[in-house]
Formats: sequence, C-alpha cells, structure tokens
Amino acid sequence: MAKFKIFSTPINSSPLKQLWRAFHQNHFALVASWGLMFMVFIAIFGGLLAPYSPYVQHQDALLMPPAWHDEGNIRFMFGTDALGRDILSRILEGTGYSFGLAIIAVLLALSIGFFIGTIAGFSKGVKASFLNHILDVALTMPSLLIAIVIVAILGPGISNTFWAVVLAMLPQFIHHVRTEISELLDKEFVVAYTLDGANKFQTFRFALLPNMIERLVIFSTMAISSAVLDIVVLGFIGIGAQSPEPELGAMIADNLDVFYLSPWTVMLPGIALFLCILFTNIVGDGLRHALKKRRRQ
Amino acid sequence: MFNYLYRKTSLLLFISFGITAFAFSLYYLFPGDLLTNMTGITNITEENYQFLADKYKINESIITQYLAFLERLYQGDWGVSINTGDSIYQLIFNLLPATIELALYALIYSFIVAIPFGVLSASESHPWLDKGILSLSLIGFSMPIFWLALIITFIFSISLGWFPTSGRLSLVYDIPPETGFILIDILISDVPYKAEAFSDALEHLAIPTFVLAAYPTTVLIRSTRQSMKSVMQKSYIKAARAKGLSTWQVLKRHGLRNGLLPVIQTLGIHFGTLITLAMVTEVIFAWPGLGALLVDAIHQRDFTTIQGGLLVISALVFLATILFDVLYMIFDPLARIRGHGKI
Repeated sequence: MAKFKIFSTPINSSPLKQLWRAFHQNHFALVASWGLMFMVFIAIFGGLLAPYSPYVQHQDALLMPPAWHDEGNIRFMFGTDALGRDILSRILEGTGYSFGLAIIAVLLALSIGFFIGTIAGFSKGVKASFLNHILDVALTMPSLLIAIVIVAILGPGISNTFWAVVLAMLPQFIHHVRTEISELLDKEFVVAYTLDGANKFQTFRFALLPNMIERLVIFSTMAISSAVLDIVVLGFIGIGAQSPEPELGAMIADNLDVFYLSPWTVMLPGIALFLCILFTNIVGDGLRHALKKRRRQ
Repeated sequence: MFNYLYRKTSLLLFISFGITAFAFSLYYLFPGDLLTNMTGITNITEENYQFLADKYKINESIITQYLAFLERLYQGDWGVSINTGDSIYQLIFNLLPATIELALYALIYSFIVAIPFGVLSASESHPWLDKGILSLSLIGFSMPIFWLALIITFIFSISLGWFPTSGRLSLVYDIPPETGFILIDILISDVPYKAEAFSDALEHLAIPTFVLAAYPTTVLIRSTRQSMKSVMQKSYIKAARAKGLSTWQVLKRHGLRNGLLPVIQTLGIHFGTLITLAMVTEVIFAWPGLGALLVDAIHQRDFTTIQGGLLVISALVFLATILFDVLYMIFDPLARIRGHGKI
C-alpha cells in the first residue's frame, strides 16, 4: 500500500512569501508592522482627519491641556499650543511632513540609486574604480552632515530639506545596489545564465533582481528611520521646515519656550515621532532576522 | 604595512583635494557677489574693489583662484564673517576644542557603558538580559536626540534640579582660555576657586555628554554583542575553557582581545555621525562650539562662516575616519593581510 507523506511537503512559495512567513512568526515585529501601517495611513490621510486647520489660532483656548487633564476640553483632544493651535491637527498633518516626506525621499533615492547602482555594478575597470573612490569619500560623511551642507547651500525650507535628504541618502543606495550586483555577478547560477546566452538585461531581470529585492526592502526600511531623523533634526535646529509649518521637529522647537509650563506641547509630537521611528526600526530588525532565518533553511 | 600607509596617505591627499575643491566651489554656489563671498566684506568701495580683486585673483582662471585659495588657507587668512566682521580662522579654532571635548567625553562614556553591556548580552547564560539590553538599545536608537535631551533636562534639571540646563560653565567663574578644553583650562589656571569651577564644569558636562552618548552607546552595544557572540563560539575559546581557565580569564586573555577589534572599526564608521550629533547637541544646550556657530551662520546666511565651518568639520570627520582605520590595522594583524587590494 502506498504511503503518503503528508507533513513533509516542501515549501515552494516565493522567497518574499517565505520571508513573510518567517517575519510573522515574530509577534513583536508583526505588531510593530501594524503600527507602521497605521502611521503610514495617518501620514497619507492625516490632513483629512484633522478636526481643524493646523494654522488656525483659537484665541479663546491658549495652552489648553489635553482632554484627559482636569482642565482639558474635548474640543481639543491633545490640547493647544501657545498660539491656540490644535495640537492633534498639527500632529496629524505633521506626520505627513516628517514621516510621509521621509518615505517619499527614500523611494526617490531608491529609484535613482537603483538605476545608477545597477549601471555601476555592471561596469568594470577605470570607470568603476573612479566611482569607488567617490563613493568611499561620500560614505564617510554621515547623511545628516551632507544634508546640513546641502541646506547650507540651498537655504532653509521644507522643500530644500527634502532634496537634501534625498541627495544625502543617494550614495548609500548606490553603494548598496552596486556591491549587491557585483557580488551576485560572481555567483555560479548567474554565470550559468550568461552561458545560456542571456544578455545583460535578461540576466538582470531574471537572475539578479529576484535575489536583490529582499535586501533592498530591508535596507530601505532602515533608511526610512534615518531619513525621518534627518528631517526632524533639521527642522528642530531651525534650518529645515520653517516655523508655522506643522513639521514635528519644527513644532517641538516652536514650543520649547512653553515646555516647562505645559509639557504636552512638546511631549505629544515627540511621542508621535518616536513611535514612527520605533515601529520602522522594529519592522526593519524583524525583517532582517526573518531573512537570516530563511537563508538558514 | 608600508604599502598600507602609502595607500592611506594617497587617500588622504585625494580627500584633501576633494574637501578644498568643494569648499572653493562654495564661493560660486552661494548666491550673492563673488568677492563678498570670498572676503566677507559687504560694502566694498571702488578703490578697495580693485585691490581685493587683485589679491583674490578673481579675474584670472579658476585654477589660479584655487591655488590662491589654498595659499590663503595655509596662511590662516580665511576672510572675515559677513555679519560680525570677526576673523573666521580665529572664530573657528577658538570654538573647535569645545566640540571635540564634548564628542570625546561622550565617546569615552559610551565605551565605558557599552562594552560591559555588550559582553553581558552576548553571554549565552542570560537570555533575558540579552533581550532587555537589545530592546533598550533599539529604543535608544529610535529616540530623536533633541527629544531625549528635552526629557532628560526636564527630569534632571527642572524637576530634580541636579544639573544646570545649558551652557558650559557658570558665569561666576572666570577661567582664562588657554587650550580651549574647559577641564584642562581649569586645571592649568591659577585661580583660587579651582575645585569649585572644576565641579561646576563637570555638572555642566553631565547632561550633554549623556545625551550625546546615547547614539554611540547603542551602536557599540550592538556591535560588541555581535562580535563577542561569534568570537565566543571559536574553538580557541573552547580550548581555553578546557584548559580550566575561569570565565574572566577566558574573557580577558582571549575573548576581549579578539572581540573588541571590530568595535574599533565600527567606531570609525560612526565617528562622523557622532560629530554631527555633537553639533545638534550644542544647539540644544547652548554649548559654545562649532556646531552652534555653523547653525547660526546658516540662519543668518553668513556664507564665509558656513564655508569655514564646513571645511573644518568635514576635514575633522575624514581625518578621524582614516585615523581609526589605521588604528584598526595596527591592532589587528589579520586585517593587514585582508586589507590588501582594498582602497
């Protein structure tokens, strides 16, 4: 009689699916990923959810404490700042500035870096070694310092901050993609592809790309957290987003004068910011562990 | 080894050229009049204009201008600040020690804290400790530095009143600046209130150092933990254990020596971030350093100061990175072999 092996079916799902399977065994990271999705949702739709405009000043309610405080008012859930602006609205809108812009900046840097990095990864000889030197110099500079340099040249402002962050992250992405490609090109299965007659594009599309995506996703997740940090630090020291704009770092800097009098004006935006970065980092960490686990199988 | 040093020197030359060429190109990148950007003098009269144009060679080719720029850099003639009219060279090198001091103490502090924690969390016998330390370091990693600074100031300066909120030294004490490093200055000065001034300076240092150290500490804990974990599984550790050495002896003679080498490398990689964060910390705590100067200059569009500040900070970062790399090579004989064929 034929015997069926019911429990030892080999896993034939795609690498990304396997990664997800390993990822969601880690409950901590799974919860963080839900938190991250919530933050992304707020970053996109926060402006629509906000009860008031982030710029409107309610003269009758200056420095109102949050609603759970004894003197709070339910009209202003998170209270108001020294100019009577609703903090909840400002946080909802500000998440879009700090966190949403960081995500867009990472996506942009990723696509440009992916393009240049791929071309650099395929090139050899003098061109490659020249690029190597430039990248080595650029990578020694931390991204925040490059961003400060660029803002110093372009002048303060949120749009300049955005471009500064994109440009500051670009060398890292180029470097990552380039090393990944040149490492993969030495692997035997890629050589087999080339010997089978695949041209450069086909090798790239069918042999390299599927093997790069996972690491790129992880790298970009980590890059998001550093991009958020760069944007808010620039905003905080006053050379990023300018004062009335509800960017979280600039908001905290704005409310510094009344911090000791009414701590919530600084603590609540800070907590929102902290949660964004924490969730991103936990998800990135979880993905990295999941990848390690999957590779070990 | 000589080959390695030669390569590093050539990299240093390449980088010096890069930095100076970048600083020179700022003259053209900044908006406004070229000669004002170069000299820092805003209202140049007719007769002065001719003299300055000759001195700065602005009518000649770019290469001549660049060479003249290098010569001025070497002579210490870095122009004057557009806003205040002070000599940039004086300004920057008076403030630079304050920045280095802050970064150095934070680095020492993070070394002292991070390495024991990293070693502890690498040990197999306390998995709960590992989890705790790792999640703490993840939180420290995710905390924006200015927010951490505000929370710490709120707790320790405002509520408890243990430490001052900002500044470098109480205005009561008058210490003549000699080296620019405040602790050294106090020690070598001959004022009657030496001990009080020293403890006051330490109190001012405590919170900025702790805040600035948060980032390098988390990074160091992670890298120490990782390298110790891989070292402790090596067979020479097993052999040492089998010989009958105690845990401490194994750690001291075999584990730490090999486990801490990659940490030096990590330190070199993250030194630039440390300096950048030191600049931010200066802004938060009104610490009179290069970062505060630079941020003020960016606010006021003071281009000559921005240029000088950027030049010095990037030179500092590159020099430190190369120095750490050389240190790593000196300590790790294996890396010297592996180092061949790299940059």
